[in-house]
Amino acid sequence: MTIKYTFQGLLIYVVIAAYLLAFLTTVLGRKKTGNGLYLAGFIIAAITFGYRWYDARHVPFQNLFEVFLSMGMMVYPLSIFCRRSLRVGGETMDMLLGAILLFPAGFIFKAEPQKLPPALQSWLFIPHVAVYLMSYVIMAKATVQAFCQLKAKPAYTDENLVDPEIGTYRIICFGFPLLTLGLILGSWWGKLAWGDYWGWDPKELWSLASWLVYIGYLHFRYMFGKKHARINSCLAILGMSVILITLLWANLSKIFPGLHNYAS
Amino acid sequence: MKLNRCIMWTALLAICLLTILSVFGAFCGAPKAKLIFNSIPLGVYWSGLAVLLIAGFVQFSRLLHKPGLFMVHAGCLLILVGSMWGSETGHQLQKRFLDSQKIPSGYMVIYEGESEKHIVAEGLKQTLGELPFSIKLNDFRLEHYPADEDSVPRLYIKTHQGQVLQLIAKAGEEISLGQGKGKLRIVRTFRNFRITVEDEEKIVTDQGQAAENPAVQVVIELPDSNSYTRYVFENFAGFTHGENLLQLSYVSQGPQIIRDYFSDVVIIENGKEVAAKSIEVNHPLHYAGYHFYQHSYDSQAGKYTILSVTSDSGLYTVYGGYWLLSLGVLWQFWFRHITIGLEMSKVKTKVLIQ
Ligand code: HEM
Repeated sequence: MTIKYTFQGLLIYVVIAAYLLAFLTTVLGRKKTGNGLYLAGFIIAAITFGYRWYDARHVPFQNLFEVFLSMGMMVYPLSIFCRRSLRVGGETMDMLLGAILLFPAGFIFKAEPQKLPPALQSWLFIPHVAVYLMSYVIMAKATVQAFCQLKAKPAYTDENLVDPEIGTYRIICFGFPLLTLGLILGSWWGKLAWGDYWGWDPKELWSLASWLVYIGYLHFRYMFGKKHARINSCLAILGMSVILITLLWANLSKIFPGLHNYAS
Repeated sequence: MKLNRCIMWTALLAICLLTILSVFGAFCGAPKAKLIFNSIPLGVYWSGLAVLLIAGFVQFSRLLHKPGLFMVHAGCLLILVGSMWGSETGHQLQKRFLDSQKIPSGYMVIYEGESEKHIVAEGLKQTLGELPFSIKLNDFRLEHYPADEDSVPRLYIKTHQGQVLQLIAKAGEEISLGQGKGKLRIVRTFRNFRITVEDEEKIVTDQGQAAENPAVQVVIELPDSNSYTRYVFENFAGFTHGENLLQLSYVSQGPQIIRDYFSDVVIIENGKEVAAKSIEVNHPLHYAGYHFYQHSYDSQAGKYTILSVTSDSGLYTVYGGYWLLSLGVLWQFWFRHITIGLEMSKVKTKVLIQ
């Protein structure tokens, strides 16, 4: 664990603090203050993202520091969209999620900007990584809903909002096209850069596995609806677990050597 | 009804099996996973999955009538068929039954100024076959990122006690070499150091912009007020400079990072040049059913390039599948709801107007 004594590091810590304070104040019943802090955290996160883009001279999606920084910025718009369009709540947990997502950027991964190697200089770099990161954050929110369903605890008491089981399903339906596009754009890019649209690389196989778990979820839910709500939720949580492995373990562990591995 | 349930359960089982196999394959590493997923049992599995998808279309009319569901499942079917057609086994079957001579994949090693038509296997020794045309490499080039503005030229000084000192190599900069050891001063830097002789006198000059022979001129001033001049060349790092046993190294800029590789090639068919392209990473050449990619190069002398070659059989079917699958999921999960939402708002406004 290292502390970053830079302007960028300072901004990240301010966002983490804002998200955590937003969470605490909301839990203590001061919803308005909580929302204000959450919005402030998002604005500073967006500024940090922009600053990093300017500083590194490429969109900050290259290494795990940049990936977590970007994801930490995506939580707030997702909360707003889910409440307004999908009628799914859970913003309080989103505030905590934002802080958790920024933690690795603040304390674990190195922030030194790197030059883009030839294979990353493709127009597909931005859409491929952007849709994946968005889908990961969306699926993380769906997982929180799934845990709420398992605990049989409604996350909120607003009549306009759906229950956590439906919440999980709606969010997964929203995120699944992005997950699919991430996989397809990655495959297309692989064809352009390396000559193969599928290389059986560990990271590719983990990402295929995570996509398949969500396909399993969608088919299972089509077959049984809400009858086996607990299994539905467990499948959603399994999907997120495989995504976590795809994002972290497959990149960092020497067990999975390959084109996407940073361990060496 | 029973058959429907049976199909759905089998589909679920097939998805579950593929998930487990993917995880297993991830632990095996790419080369072994490739063998597993291209093996005969897996061939049976892929064909079974395709049959299952077709059975789904036959049994569930919604899969045919709902555009999103149709595109998603038809896309998967196309990807399966296209990738099986383009696989090594697919190529072998095409050779056997359709007399196709296409080579699924391999590599080409081409020297500058020479033509090549042989495709070799991964170890670059075994020949896999010949192309009906040849590829000539006119030039192989590397492009570097411009040196960082913040990576200024530096002189590294290793004293006889093993201490490493660093000094910015700018005229006038100086550094103490330790108590009683004197000091070192930078006099001049050269991008391209040359010595010419005029009237039997050696003249040192800096020639040209290209950093061919970067060097720095230093003066070492000893405490006894003697001094001597030395030239430190970047290309001879760590050269020991006698009297004071100093090891001096000059680094004129930060490490050069490669930005891109280029192979300028022309295709020669029946003795005529029919196409030309500068192949670079992410910009392959496509010709006569093959894609040619920048794969590797002669890192020592830059005299040859290594291209990887893949047949495009089945590729456009797979791409068609990608389009259908992408449009299908977007339609099924996003746009359908937006259009339903718009319809609903129209109904609402109509009610209000009435
Ligand atoms: C293996 C044979 C398969 C069969 C027999 C099958 C069958 C079905 C059926 C009957 C539905 C429900 C349609 C409805 O809403 O009425 C469905 C939904 C769906 N299937 Fe498949 N499927 C198969 C494989 C796949 C695969 C490989 C994918 C991969 C993309 C896939 C993706 C989907 C999606 C995204 C839905 C929509 C689920 C939803 O709306 O919640 N299916 N499938």
